[in-house]
Amino acid sequence: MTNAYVLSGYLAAAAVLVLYCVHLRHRGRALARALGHPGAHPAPAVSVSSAVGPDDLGGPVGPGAPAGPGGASRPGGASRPAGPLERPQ
Amino acid sequence: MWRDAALVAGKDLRVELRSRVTTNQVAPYAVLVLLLFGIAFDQDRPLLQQAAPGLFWIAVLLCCLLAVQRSFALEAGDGARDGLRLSGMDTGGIFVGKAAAIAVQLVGLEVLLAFGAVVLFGTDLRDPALLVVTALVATAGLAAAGTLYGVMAAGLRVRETLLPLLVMPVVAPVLLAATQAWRSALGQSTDGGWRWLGLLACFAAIYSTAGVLGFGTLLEEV
Amino acid sequence: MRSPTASRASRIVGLAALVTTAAVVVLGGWVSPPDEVQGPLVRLIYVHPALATYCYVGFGLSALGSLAYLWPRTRSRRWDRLAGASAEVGVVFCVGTLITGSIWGRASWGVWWTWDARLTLTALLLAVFLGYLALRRSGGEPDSRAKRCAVAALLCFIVVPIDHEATSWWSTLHQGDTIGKGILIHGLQLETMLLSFVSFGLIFTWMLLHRLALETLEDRFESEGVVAAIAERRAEGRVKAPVPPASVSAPAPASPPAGTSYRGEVKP
Repeated sequence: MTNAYVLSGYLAAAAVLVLYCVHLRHRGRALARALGHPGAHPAPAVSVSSAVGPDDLGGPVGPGAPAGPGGASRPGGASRPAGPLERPQ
Repeated sequence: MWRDAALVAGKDLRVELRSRVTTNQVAPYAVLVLLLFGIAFDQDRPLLQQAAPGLFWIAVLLCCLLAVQRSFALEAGDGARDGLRLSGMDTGGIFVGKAAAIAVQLVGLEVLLAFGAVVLFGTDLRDPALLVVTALVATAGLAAAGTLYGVMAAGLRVRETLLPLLVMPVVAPVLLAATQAWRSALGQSTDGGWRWLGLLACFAAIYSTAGVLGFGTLLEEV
Repeated sequence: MRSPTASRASRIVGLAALVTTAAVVVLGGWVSPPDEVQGPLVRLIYVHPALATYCYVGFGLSALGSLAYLWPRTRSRRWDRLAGASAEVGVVFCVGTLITGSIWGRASWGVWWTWDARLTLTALLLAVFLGYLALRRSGGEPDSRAKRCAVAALLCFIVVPIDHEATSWWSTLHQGDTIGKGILIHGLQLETMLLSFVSFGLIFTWMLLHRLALETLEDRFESEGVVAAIAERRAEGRVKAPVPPASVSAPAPASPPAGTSYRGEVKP
């Protein structure tokens, strides 16, 4: 491979594929960690309003919490990039 | 189906007549886009004249996005979309009605934009037959594709950013064909403009069919 | 740590992919002869067409999966997962195609990009499927998201055959098919090119297997992860002193965690 263009072509293809593999591995490990210990992460810093008692609705927290699954209120959400794990509404 | 289409189109257009969003907001936006193009190209008259068909159709595309967003925003509140679903109307008819209403608004905007292009870019409107037919067929395609993707994005929170991303690549062929047809109509290219009409007609046919068939499924999922 | 998405199949395929790719690189990079016309640049033919082909395959599988999902008799989350996974791998291959193609174009035509039909349509194809991937990430209920994405995938797939035929329908700067109606290369070049299709096919399959496993993990996270989060929130709530319910002003859940409606399994 004496030609620089050929070399960079091969390297570019390799780079694209390898980067994607790295990405897949990262996401796989993050998900596995999250699924492996669903309750083991420390309770997030978001303070639940003390007005919420054992509520009959059996629903999620009330006024104080940010709407739905924003990254911080998820188990382990604070400790890894929120992107792949966030489930938008 | 056609009766339902007429009903829905009538409803959308009547809402527009009463709220005047297209005339008061989208139309000035359209003219503004043309102005910005003029500023961007440093008021270079010959360049603007040459680029006019492309700039016109880009402006139309941008307005189409707004028109589609607006069309689905009409039903976003007060359970109106549920009402539409439960009304028992033929979903293909609802699709055609919504697309028709969008198309009518787009045609109005195109007239305004054409006028703007003549004034601001010095476009010389020869061969009006090709210009008009192209515009009509292209508009039909834009409205159909826009409505189909609009309903896909309608229920989502990220719809404002997702809809442009979905629609723009899809209507790129319309941009291409319409621009080429107009360029030939304005004498800027010797390419047979009527050829491009075939592509536009194909596009409109594909998306209209897909819309009539798929709208029901998608409406349920909004 | 063992990769969570690996499986016996993926390991076998991965090994085979590694071996064949190494062979292609050696054969393609050194052993096979340079072209009479293109010179050493022909070596890119062992990379670029295979990337493009599996890009189409990826999008094709996505369309097939979408069809299978939409067809009531075969509806199953498995097809939706296939559609999503193969679209993503297809996008990766599409990026690879465009980059290697651009490098090749710079070398042989002197420009990084030109607006001929084949290149433009391939760029459009990428844009359209990026939109599809964005749609996959923006839904709520998995079943409605799946239906919506399935329709989108079918529409996006329309671009693929047009892109493939672009070099024969329009006069393009991009060359036509090397292995199409006739075969334009011979000998070791041909064999290496065929081997490259095999090796990239194995790479594609390997990536697809991992991506599918990942998709399954994500589904599990969506249902289990949210349920676990709710349980944790309730556990927190019980720790605080109870207060008369009149002061509770939990707003009507405008945004309940999507999980409450998943498969109806909100554990009390």
